[in-house]
Amino acid sequence: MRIRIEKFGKVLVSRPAGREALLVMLSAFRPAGDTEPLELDFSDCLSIAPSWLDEVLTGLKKEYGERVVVLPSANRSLVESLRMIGT
Amino acid sequence: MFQGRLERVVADPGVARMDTQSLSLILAVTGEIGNNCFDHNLGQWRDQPGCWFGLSSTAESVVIWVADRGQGFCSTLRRVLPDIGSDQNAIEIAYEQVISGRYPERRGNGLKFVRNVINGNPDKGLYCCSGSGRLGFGGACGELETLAAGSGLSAGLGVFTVLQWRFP
Repeated sequence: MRIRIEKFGKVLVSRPAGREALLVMLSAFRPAGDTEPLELDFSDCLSIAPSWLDEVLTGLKKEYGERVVVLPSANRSLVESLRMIGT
Repeated sequence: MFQGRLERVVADPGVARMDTQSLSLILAVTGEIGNNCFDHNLGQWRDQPGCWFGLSSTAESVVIWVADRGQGFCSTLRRVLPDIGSDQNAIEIAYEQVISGRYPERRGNGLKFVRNVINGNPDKGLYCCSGSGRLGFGGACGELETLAAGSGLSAGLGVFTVLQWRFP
């Protein structure tokens, strides 16, 4: 299953907004079975801050573990945020 | 409300001149600084809640400032580091260590992200005051320090941050 993150906003910057997005993802996007990956597609997002990303990734990985995959992106804020939160 | 103001930054003529990658970084950096005002002062404002968020752009650069009348770094971090000591020590720890005044929540990487993006970059700078603490980094920080000193602004017990992005 692939989630188009752009649908949650183009500027993704706070923990409260990240927590809200996580709750929606857990409720509305459920990968099939025990093996289907959950792919996060950040194309068309303008900016992603580590606080927002940490809330979302930590919560999704707690539920789905290594099935959560961030699709490759050239967006510098995403690259730097991933590096910062150690993912 | 801060999120809404931040998204409108994109419409500024100076910001609109930025390339996509610079825009993604300046929004993320400003978002971390601005949201800290609210995340660390909720229910604990000294008097006026919220932050003063402004932007000024020229053909050479974009300058953004965020100021709040909250608890400041020292008071916030003293909850997890009772022996933190001075305002200067607190502001340096806030930007250099992955630590948060909101323990036991696992957070505290926002300002480290800000530092990583700006530090060592000749076209960017950040200058921050909290209480008697002062911290600057990035190639443009000397200019910002002069600007802050000349303006007569003082953070008092809150936090005042100004950052600059020069166009290459």
